[in-house]
Amino acid sequence: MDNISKWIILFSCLPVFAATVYAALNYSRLEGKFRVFSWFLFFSGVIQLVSLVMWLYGLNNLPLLHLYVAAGFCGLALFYREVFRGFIPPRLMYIIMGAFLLFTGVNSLFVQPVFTFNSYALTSEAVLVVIFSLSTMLLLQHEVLRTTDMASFRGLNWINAGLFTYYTSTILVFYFGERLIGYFPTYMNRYVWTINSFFSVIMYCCFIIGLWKSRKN
Amino acid sequence: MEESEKLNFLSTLFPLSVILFIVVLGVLLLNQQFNRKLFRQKLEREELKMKQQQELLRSSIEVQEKERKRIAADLHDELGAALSMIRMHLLRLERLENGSEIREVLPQVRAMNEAALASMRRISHEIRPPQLEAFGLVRTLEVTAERIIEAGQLNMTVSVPDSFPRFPMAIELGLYRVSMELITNTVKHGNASHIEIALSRDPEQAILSYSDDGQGLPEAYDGRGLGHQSIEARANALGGTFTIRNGNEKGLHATIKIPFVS
Repeated sequence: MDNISKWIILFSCLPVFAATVYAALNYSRLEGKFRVFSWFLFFSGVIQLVSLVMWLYGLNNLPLLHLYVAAGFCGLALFYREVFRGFIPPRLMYIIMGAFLLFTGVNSLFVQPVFTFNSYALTSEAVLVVIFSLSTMLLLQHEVLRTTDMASFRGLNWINAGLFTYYTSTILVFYFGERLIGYFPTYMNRYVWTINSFFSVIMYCCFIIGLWKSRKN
Repeated sequence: MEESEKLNFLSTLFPLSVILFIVVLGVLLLNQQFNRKLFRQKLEREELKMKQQQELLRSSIEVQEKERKRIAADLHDELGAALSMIRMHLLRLERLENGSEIREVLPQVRAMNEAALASMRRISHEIRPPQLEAFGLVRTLEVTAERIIEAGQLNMTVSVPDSFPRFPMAIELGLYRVSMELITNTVKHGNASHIEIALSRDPEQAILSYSDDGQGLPEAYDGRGLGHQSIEARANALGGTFTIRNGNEKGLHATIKIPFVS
């Protein structure tokens, strides 16, 4: 079972690196908001690589998760700031980013230290991203936005769907998984991680398709 | 034991409700904001569209009036003058009794009549060139180019791919009018030495590209001139688009695209 989990976690890294490389290769052909999204991918790629190396050497890589949650959310908030440009005041996103950074900082320092699993920050990030992605889905229903730039619309749809799928599962898997795990045997913990890896693979596959669909000719 | 399990269950369900409530509230608030913005944008677009339509209507009426004035002036100055002269000579002929004198005046009357006919032909051709219907847009533009070159001020080339077909009359007339408007502008204000018209087509639209090597568009050009609006109105009426900009080095470059059904 340990071996299977290991292989699943290793396999789940591949789409992350694939999406990062794809974004880097096509960066010049991407539109503004997708370039901002690429920064998030580059950061995710680097964090994934370092955490993989640490995991292989048997080091605790949880501090990286604290960093990833804080900086990753800022990347996604900047991406959604571009998506919502013209619809919400730009400073609203900065206020949300600032409040989240403050919360995650306090959480990492006093509530869930860096060598423990930061479920509160992760759940808060997931809740915010689910709000953004659901709102984007509603926004994309408007005919006016569909007809302005079809390539951008398709790309955004895929990326947004990926984010929605992964972060919804994150809320369920981590928050409720952590609470329900007490009722089940400990090996369930591995299943929780495997399910999370599965949704992560789906999300990064959606990112690759989204970037591919949004490329400028 | 049962009590504690119930408590655990509640402590799991309560946060779920809170999370769901936050998600729903967040989405609702953002969506309300989007709808408000979209509604405002829609209103602004409608207002702009209405303003543009009013502007186009006003300019097309102005263009029509200008054209009527030009035709009236041509008729009065050229045809009117020739016919008055003919009338004057005919009155003189009525008074003449000597046959040799009559024969002397008659060639003058005939010459004036021919001049009047030529004027009438020119005016009528300017209103709607007969070769456009008979030979099509390409030939008409080529004839126009020949005339411009003959006048000696400008050089003009018309390039057309071999496969360029004939289009419905409305499209050919529209493209012809736009070309003439652009040529008039170049002659009047462009200070150019060469005009180039390129006709092409893609599967869905006929494309006319116009360029000259003159001084191009003025810096403060806002597209509100009568000529520009007249071209835009014509393109819009045919469901097409009109774009104009300065050339890469000098002069101006305009493109008109008119859709057609194969």
